Amino acid sequence: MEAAVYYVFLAMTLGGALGVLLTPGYVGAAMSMLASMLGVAGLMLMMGAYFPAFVMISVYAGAVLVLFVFVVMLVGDAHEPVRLWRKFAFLVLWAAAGAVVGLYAPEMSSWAESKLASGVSGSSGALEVAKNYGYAMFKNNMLAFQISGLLLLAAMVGVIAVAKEPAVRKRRREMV
Amino acid sequence: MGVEVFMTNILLNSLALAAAGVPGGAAAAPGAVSTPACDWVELLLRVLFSLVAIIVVMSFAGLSVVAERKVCAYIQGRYGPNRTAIPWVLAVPVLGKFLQRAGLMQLVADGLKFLFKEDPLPAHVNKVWYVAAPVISLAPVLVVACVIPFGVYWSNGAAMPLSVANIDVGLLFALAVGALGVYGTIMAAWSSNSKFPYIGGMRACAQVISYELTMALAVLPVVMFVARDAESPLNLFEIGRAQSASAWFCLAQPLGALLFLIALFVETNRLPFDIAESETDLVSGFHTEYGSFKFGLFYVGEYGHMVVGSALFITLFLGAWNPLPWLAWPEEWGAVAAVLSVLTFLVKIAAMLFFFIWIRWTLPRFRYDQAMNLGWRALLPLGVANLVFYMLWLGF
Repeated sequence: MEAAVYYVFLAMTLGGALGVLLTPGYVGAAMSMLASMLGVAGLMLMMGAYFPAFVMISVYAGAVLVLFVFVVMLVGDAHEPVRLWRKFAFLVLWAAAGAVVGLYAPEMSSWAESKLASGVSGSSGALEVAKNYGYAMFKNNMLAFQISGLLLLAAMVGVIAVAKEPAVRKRRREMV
Repeated sequence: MGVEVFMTNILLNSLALAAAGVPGGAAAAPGAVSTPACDWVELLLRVLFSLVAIIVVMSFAGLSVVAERKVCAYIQGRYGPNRTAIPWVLAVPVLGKFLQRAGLMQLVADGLKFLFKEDPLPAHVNKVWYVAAPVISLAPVLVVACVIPFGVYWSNGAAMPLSVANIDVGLLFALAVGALGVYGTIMAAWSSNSKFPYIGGMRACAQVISYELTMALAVLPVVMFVARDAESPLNLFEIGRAQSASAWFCLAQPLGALLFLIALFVETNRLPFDIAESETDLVSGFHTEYGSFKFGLFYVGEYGHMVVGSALFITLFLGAWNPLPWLAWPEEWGAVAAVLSVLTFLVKIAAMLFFFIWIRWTLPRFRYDQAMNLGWRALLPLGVANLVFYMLWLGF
């Protein structure tokens, strides 16, 4: 039973990943990503990590991906055909990754129980879990957290710089 | 049509299985949910329970379709549907006439009409997503229904929830899975490959992004209140229990309740926030290209969303299954109290549905820019202020 559910989620995850690589349009890719995320959330559930699983669905699937789709719909979907060699390379990579994960079927729930029994994750209450995440994010790993935030900010500025039409070209166009 | 129902079942079952496998409710019901997966009887019971939950939601959705027509007629000074009748039901002495006047048989007629109409598949659509979209918009609603505690019962002195899956992070589950419903709208809009649905879908995207923050911010103070004396404050049953024999959260946090209610109107795409559908300027928005039972699924999905959203609002702010503020059904009454708690919950859902319909036929629709302004410039700051206020209040 557990194995069946595991393989369903696994298929969702890997199938979604393949879909991201191989669908021609952006919207289809985003939807494949959604399937992949739901699969990953399901795997998290099986390991007993309920809080991050639902936070991931809520934040990434419920908000970030919607934003992606909104932007794609705003600028228009692309229909560039996927080149054959790329398709093939993706397929090989994906098959290798899938074989590793698919052949290695861990006993996820028993693993979670053993962790719980040995007291690694502390109390099982959702409040405790949330508290632990808070401490991990804003106390123990504060520097890494801030650096990743800074990187995202830099990326955003870069995107705006790339997307913005250079002033020179704009002036030239206005002259014509 | 058969394909869609089949797909709904598959999607639902996989998600419901995931939910049912969650060992949770550590504080309220130790060991109630953590079943060994091989226990088939338990599994069968669980499937049965989820079917009951789905039937409750679907029948409420159907009845609210009738209620919509009757209430709107009442507000506009008309009678509404009062002619439709099945002959041999009409022959029943008093009941038949009553059913005819109440328009209840109109529901059957509506459903059959959706079922028997031609099911068009326009040539210009993206076929896979076009067929999948109505299912995607309906399925999350039915999944969320599994975590709603419809009532309470007592066994060996411990209060237990009458819900399919009493999971520890029920609130997060409801918000996360409920938010997935918007993909039905988006995919319908995109796959229709036509201008009006496209615009409607973009509006739906923008709206969901804008109001989801407000919703989360409005819920957080409730969780903080519950966390004062419950171990798992994200459990919907614990949230309900925190309101028995004490003030309901709509009294303790009126602003939060109002914000959540407004965000709920947005999430369910109801007037005054139905700019994604907006008959006056977008034909009928994201489902312009749909007909027959596919449109029927969107239709039922909207009302199902209303039912589940109302249930969530009731659990969070309107005292869940408790009859009045500072008053709970006494534990000594046993099974009677359990039945009364469920009835209370259902009556509250009906009242909320009436409220939804009342608002729809009273307020005009917001324009796109008005909805955006309201969301970002008014509701979001208010939500942050609300959160900070209760943080300080609980802190000192």
